[in-house]
Amino acid sequence: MKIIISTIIPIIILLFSSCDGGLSPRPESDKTFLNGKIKFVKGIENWPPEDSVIAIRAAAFKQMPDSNIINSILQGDAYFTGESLPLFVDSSGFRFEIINPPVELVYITIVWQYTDDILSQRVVGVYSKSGNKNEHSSLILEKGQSYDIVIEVDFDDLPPMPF
Amino acid sequence: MIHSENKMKINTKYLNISIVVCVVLFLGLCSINLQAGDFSGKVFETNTETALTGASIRIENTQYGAKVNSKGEFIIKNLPGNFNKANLIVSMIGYETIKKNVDLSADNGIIFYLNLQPLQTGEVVVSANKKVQTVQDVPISVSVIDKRVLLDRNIKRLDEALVYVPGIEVNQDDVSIRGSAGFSFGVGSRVTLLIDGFPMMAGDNGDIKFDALPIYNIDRVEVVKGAGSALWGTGAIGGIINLTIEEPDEDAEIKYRVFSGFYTQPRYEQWKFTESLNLSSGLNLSYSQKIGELSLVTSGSLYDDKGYRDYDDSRRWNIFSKLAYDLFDNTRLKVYFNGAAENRADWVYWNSLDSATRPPTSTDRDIRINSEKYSGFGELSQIFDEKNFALLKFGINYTSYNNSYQANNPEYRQSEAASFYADVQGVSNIGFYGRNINLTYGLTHIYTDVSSKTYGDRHQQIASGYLQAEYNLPDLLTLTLGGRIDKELTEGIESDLEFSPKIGLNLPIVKDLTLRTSLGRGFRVASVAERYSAIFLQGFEVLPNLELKPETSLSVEGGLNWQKSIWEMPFEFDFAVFHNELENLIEPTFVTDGSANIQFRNVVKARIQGLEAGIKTFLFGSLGLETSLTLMNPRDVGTDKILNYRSEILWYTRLLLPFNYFEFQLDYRYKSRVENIDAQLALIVSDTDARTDVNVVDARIIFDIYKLYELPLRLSLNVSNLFDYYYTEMVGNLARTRLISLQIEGHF
Repeated sequence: MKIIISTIIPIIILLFSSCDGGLSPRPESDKTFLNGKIKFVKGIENWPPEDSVIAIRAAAFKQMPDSNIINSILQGDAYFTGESLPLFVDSSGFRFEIINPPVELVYITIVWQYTDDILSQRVVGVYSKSGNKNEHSSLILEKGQSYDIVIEVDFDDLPPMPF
Repeated sequence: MIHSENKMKINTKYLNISIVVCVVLFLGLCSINLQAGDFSGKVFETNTETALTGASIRIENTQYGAKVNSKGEFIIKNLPGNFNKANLIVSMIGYETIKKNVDLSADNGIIFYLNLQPLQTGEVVVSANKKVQTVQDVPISVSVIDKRVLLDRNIKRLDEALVYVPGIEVNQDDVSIRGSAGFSFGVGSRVTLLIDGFPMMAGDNGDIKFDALPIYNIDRVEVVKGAGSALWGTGAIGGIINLTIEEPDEDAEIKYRVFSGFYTQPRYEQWKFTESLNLSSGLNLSYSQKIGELSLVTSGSLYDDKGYRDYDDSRRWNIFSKLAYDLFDNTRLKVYFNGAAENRADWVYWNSLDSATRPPTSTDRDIRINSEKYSGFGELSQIFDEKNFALLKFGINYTSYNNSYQANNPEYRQSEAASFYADVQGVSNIGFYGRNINLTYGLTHIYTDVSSKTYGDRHQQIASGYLQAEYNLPDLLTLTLGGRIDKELTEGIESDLEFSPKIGLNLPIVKDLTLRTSLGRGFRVASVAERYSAIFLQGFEVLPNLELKPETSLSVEGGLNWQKSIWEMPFEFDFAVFHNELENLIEPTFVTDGSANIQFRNVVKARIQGLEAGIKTFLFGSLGLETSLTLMNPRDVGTDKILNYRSEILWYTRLLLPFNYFEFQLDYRYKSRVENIDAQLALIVSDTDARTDVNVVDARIIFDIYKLYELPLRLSLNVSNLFDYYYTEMVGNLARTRLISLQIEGHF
């Protein structure tokens, strides 16, 4: 019996020691968020015609998209809002939870889908510390921090496309 | 549910041709009928000399066999008069297997004594070479789960049992043998599932319907690892799983199993979705008997599971019958019927890790998935003499499913499929320089008819021929050579002729030490779902692809099996190294070159190398131990990354401690973290990075009342996932949490 016990106990200790509980919800204090506010600078009247506004999304890229915004999203290089943000409003907001921080976001944008083709995307707003939409800014997000940014959208004065 | 608008249009032309060809060939083979005789004997337990009722006696490489009755006697009937010497394999769960060469005329009345062996070794298998053999005699790795283990673990679906098989991973509905498959919602399985040799793959998705199998009547599950298309045709890329149905005794038996349990509340407040405890319950009832020439096994089952997640409940039933009748002395007819239906919630993935037990907030909880599965098979076997027998197999496997959306809703899914199967098989022993060569050969035809809103009205058919030769020099070597030719004959599809060779070698080095090596090819024709899917999914359009080529695999394996008694303790050690090359693997792929759609494409070339080691022993006459370790390096040759959804380390351990009327059992399962997944899944599923090593312990106490009061009753207290360890069995899917259940089983 002693031999049995001396065989079983190490095995059970091994089992217990390997069981750390597994997955768990992330503690709120460890989470990292990017909170964005979108201002449509000329109000509701300045939106394009209704039939050309399919969706407005926020997308934040870890690497600059080289040829195609959707391609970068499909490669997993970007955070994005899957559903459209509210349309024909003065302002709206979005929130990304950042997984595995620290993460550097090099290009944070608002994107307008103007036809049913998911590839028909146009950048209409970029995050810029200087306020100059021709100079987009990057942002490093650290663990446990929340970052608030503002992006302005002017459909009469769009920023350049990245490619 | 059958759709009246989409009634099946069965192309009876091809079906009729295949059946006629098979019947003609079968009748051609059935031209001799020799005078027959019987062989009888007895089987007892060594120590107590009590009759071992239910033990199986089989003649190796033949269809002959019998079961031991309540007096310990068996009779193998209708043996041809010229049948002289043969290898008899005597086996029973809980006892060691005996293989003995006997003279069927001189040894009539032979008595076998079997030793107690709580851990099963020397199992009998039929699926490695389509004939009866012991595991040690096959040139490829085979794992066996016997019915006792299925009952002890309170198994309700086959996939619950497969997670403990060395080298197997189960990713939700996908079974992967030694890394052959990742995750594809079950579509296009790379493992073929059979019941007594009949294929059970769904005709539209090419997947395994785990909820539709007669779990309660399974005698054993055989898992053959490595490409097996040389005998089993399309689908056997990673291997095959064959369920062998139990045979009845002469004494009538009614057996039952009742179980009920509850999922404990999760540790985290965020994950609690109900105040009550959700139940999981079920009932199995079975009757079996052999009356004269007629054998019958029939059963019915009900299952109800409220689920450990919100909107994840299911209810299902299953009925099964197997009927065998000896038409003549050497001619036997078997008929099978299996039916099942399920109604379940449409759980797909979680809302997020923070609410891992809830579906996405946009989920319509009124939607249900309804499915029905029916299959009917027949087998006519004819034994001509000691050297020749033939089988004719035929049958149909029907599946249907639909969700409860209105038919005009874009989210509506519906499909029904019927697969017709016909196979004529012969087995012959021919002389060759004074030795026997055992030949297995046959023709197979599969015709599939699909009527689906999701895939359209489609059909698919494959015709095949196979031949395998086994050359045996007793105590020296067994050489197996074989090959199979398959041709897809579907209209509008250009297909190559697939040739799947196989070579295997067994070398008994010394007593109880056998070396084995094998090489085999596998292939899988694209399923209807992969070829014709045309749906909208999360804003993306899934496009058909008629250009899909078959997936292929080449498996090479070397291994050894060693059985030894050390200090009067039995040990079985099994070791294998393997190398698998897989090409043209079909994966759902985002098409980003101008359209951003999804299409099934031949995109992956993979190489999987690894080793597998297993030990079974019974220490000091008191403690049973089974442990196996599989180490793999599954690589995508194109990217040199680890293949998606594969673990590199699998480790399974089982402990048994019998103590008077009780038995304590412990299962431990470890899987290393899945490193890579489809990055695009993050488009649809939250927290795809929430993946971890798997460390799961199941424990149970079994109280065998028969040992105390001679009442045939067993009570089991089962705790699956004892430590309530949280992990994902698939991205965005929390695996089953702790379930505590009580099971009562008995027979009379």
